[in-house]
Amino acid sequence: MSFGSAYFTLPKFKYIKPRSVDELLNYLSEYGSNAKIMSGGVGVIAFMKERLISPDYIISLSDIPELKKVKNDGETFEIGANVHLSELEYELVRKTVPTLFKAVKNIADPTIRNMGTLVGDLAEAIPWADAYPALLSLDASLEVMKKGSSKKVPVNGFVEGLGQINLKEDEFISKIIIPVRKMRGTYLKFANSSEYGLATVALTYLYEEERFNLVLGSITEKPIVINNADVNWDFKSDLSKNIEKLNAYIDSNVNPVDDLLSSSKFRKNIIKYLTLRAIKEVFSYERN
Amino acid sequence: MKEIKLKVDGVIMKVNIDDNEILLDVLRNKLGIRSVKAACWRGECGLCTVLLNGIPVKSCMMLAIEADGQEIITAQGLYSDERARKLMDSFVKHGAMQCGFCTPAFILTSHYILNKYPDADDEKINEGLKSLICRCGTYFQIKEAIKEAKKYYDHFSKS
Repeated sequence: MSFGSAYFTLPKFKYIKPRSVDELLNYLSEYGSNAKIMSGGVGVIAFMKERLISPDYIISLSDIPELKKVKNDGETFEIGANVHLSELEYELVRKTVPTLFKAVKNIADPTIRNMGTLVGDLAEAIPWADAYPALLSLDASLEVMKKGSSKKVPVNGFVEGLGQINLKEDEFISKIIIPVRKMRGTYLKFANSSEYGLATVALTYLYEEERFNLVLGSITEKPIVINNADVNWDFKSDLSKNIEKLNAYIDSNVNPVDDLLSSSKFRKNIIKYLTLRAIKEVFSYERN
Repeated sequence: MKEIKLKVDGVIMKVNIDDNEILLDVLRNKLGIRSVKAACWRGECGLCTVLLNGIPVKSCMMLAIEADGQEIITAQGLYSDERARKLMDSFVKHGAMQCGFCTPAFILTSHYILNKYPDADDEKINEGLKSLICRCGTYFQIKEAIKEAKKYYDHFSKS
């Protein structure tokens, strides 16, 4: 309405608000190809304002109580598709999945976190999003539903590139499932307040199984996963020797992109520094 | 056109809207609430903040139809709350504004922070105000004003 310019208005669409998952699946199988699912709406509305997408139908998840659940039964930690990010900022999440808690704290700003959802952040599939690296390091999986069936797929490989996700038109993600194990983790992001991250590091250390997942995000189109086997990490020897091995691995295998935000060399330096900080934070805790 | 019902600042209002209208547009142009400011239109500056069921949201990033049947409080509606009036007095006392464009959003957000954490420390206040931009740069005075108003939000104090 105001000013009539693309930037202030939204393209025309029909708004649909299903009351149950079954109803949602029916709509998806009917309109799938030109419909978009929206729960918080922060991403979808921003993309529509920029005219990057203009779907005919918007299907809202806001009235489906099943998707608003967070479940923790000791074995798995499940987050529904319509759980707002600010609902994940409490002590239990910090204790069970510390990497996720710290990643959520880094997403946008507190007011946007009251609106956006974790599944939304994942499905936007922009290289500097925080949900994907954190979930990769936690070995999470997704429950993907379509009419008549539901399946569990690992989160690894879900994002295929900039804005490209491995999801068919009639499917939707109903929840994120994270296995609960004894772990320590951290998430570090190099960015100006709520700006795009130039480099992010997600580290989850499973101290009972003696293995860790290190994920380097925002530096390439898809995050890079490094685990202890890749660098021949020796849990019994000295930390500094292991860090040397890790640095050598990053030097030879990681090639960050060169873009307007920063140069490749700068990104590489930052990612090495963040990795060092993350390793020290997670491993030194054990010695005290 | 669809008719939606909104409770804005305690008054139930009915308004006809299209599916693709943004809440900020409806509040400013259809309901005439001008304390909700429009500036960046992309969820960065936070000046369009309103309290939706008591929780701050950026109304420029929300469809009006999503707010159907819910309660919205703007800075004008906050005036009926005695603690919020004390907070506003504190803003005036500390000169926590220059042009005043961002003040309604800062009042709403600091009201929410103090309501949620009556014993908010510097870290909580800084974290909570991260969503807002004041281009005159009166952040220091705003923080001082919030710290002074803290005592009115403490449920156990008798002030």
